[in-house]
Amino acid sequence: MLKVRNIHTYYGGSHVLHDVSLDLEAGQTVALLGRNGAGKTTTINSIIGFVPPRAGSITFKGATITGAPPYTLAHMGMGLVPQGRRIFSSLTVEENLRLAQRAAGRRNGWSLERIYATFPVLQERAKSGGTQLSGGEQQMLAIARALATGPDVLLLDEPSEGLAPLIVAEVGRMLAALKREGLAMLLVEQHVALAISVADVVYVLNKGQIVFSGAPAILQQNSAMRQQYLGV
Amino acid sequence: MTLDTFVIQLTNGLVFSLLLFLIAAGLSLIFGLMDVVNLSHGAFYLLGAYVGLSITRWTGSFWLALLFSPLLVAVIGLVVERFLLRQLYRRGHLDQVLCTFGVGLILADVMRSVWGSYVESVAIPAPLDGQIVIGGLPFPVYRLAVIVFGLLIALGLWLLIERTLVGAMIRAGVNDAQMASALGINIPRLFALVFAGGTALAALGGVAASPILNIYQGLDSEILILALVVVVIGGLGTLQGAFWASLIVGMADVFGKALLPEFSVFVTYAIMAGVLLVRPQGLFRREQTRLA
Repeated sequence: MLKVRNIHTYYGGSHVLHDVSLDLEAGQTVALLGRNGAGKTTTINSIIGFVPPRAGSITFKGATITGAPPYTLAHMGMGLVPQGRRIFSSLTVEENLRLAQRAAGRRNGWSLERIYATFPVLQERAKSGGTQLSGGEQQMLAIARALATGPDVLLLDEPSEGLAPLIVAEVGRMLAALKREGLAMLLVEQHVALAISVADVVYVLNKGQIVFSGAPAILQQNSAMRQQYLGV
Repeated sequence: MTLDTFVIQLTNGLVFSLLLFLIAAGLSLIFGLMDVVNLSHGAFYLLGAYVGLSITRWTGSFWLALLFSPLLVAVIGLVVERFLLRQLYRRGHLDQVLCTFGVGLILADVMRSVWGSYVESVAIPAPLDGQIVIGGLPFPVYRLAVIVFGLLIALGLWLLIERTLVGAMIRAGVNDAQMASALGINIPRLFALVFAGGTALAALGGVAASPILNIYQGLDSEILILALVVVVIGGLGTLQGAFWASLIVGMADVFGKALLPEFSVFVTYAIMAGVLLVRPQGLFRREQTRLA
């Protein structure tokens, strides 16, 4: 469904991603792990078109999307839960969701009823401004907003960042539920246990290079590698 | 100042404020959404006034000018956005400022060669050229009409921005254009729409002002500077900010000229400097937001 092949991505003059390749099949959950600054967010930004790679190619549903503007990817069914949530502060919770439903021009977006049934807290805060929410509520809104666009692939960039353990567990249950529904997900995480609990395949990035790919169980057994690349 | 002159000046202040709002609203939205300081905005205002002048002369109808001049100027705005500005979004502010400043200079030269350097004026359209007496004071009907018209446009813009899907797209784009794009919003098209809308509003202001203020070369930069002051005071990308700051600047200008003629320019800039010192993000900007 999503194929990243040998991409090299730069921020100005600094070469961040070196020859990164990864695959995400329909219905699969792939976790991308690594320390701070390993290039995880840059990989997401390369795929969604925020920072197009200078070399290599990315295909989505068989079409080459390297360097395509982000809005065309949203129309094709790519959803983003970005790092830092990036909730629109001058829109209410409900406006954030309604905008997402309409903006991508897709028919399979989650309805407000379904979103509110899944995230009851968002219904309570429907008329609140996007940034009056707590961190956990904002994260739920960021996930709900991406689902409202009707994605076939969901890119999640550190959904557990800065959240209390109880909320992290809730995010974990949410991801497991989405996985059961067959949504393909690329999950970037610092929270290794959370990622391993839902992932079918794990990639580990170090200094912009893929240093491991395989089943989560293999990574779990290899404590030397976890120590070296993940610091756990 | 007697009560009578106070009321008259208040009316003049409202008229000037609302004309200023028409111009500053577009400048502020373009600035807030596209992160482009559009220094050609004053030229679009003056172009609107001149095109309106020609339409009024050809057709004899001020109303046709009020309708068609903004549309024509918006088309020119679209061309400028599509073929010049769009190439520069990824560059720094300096490139954009140089580009829009250059566009302003070119438009000013074109206007000089087409309409000459005379001071032009437009007659007040027939049904609105009288006066009405309210509470013993005579008020020019056209000025009252400009106040009503300006308030209606302000209300319409507010409804557009706060109550429609396109308005939500614009607000989302002002907050975080990159994230808005990731949700599927066609940002280049939204930018073009807002730029064209902003230039149309500036031109509308130019036509509406032409029966009151004269039309002359150099008016473009005078108006641009006042509109920039409004945007600084109100905060980037907020319609409410542009509205209230237009009232502040318009009133300061009119009352400054009446009460302290030697210091009238000083009054406007003192307010701006004060706002910059106390609330550098502007009076109505809620917080610093991320722009792509």
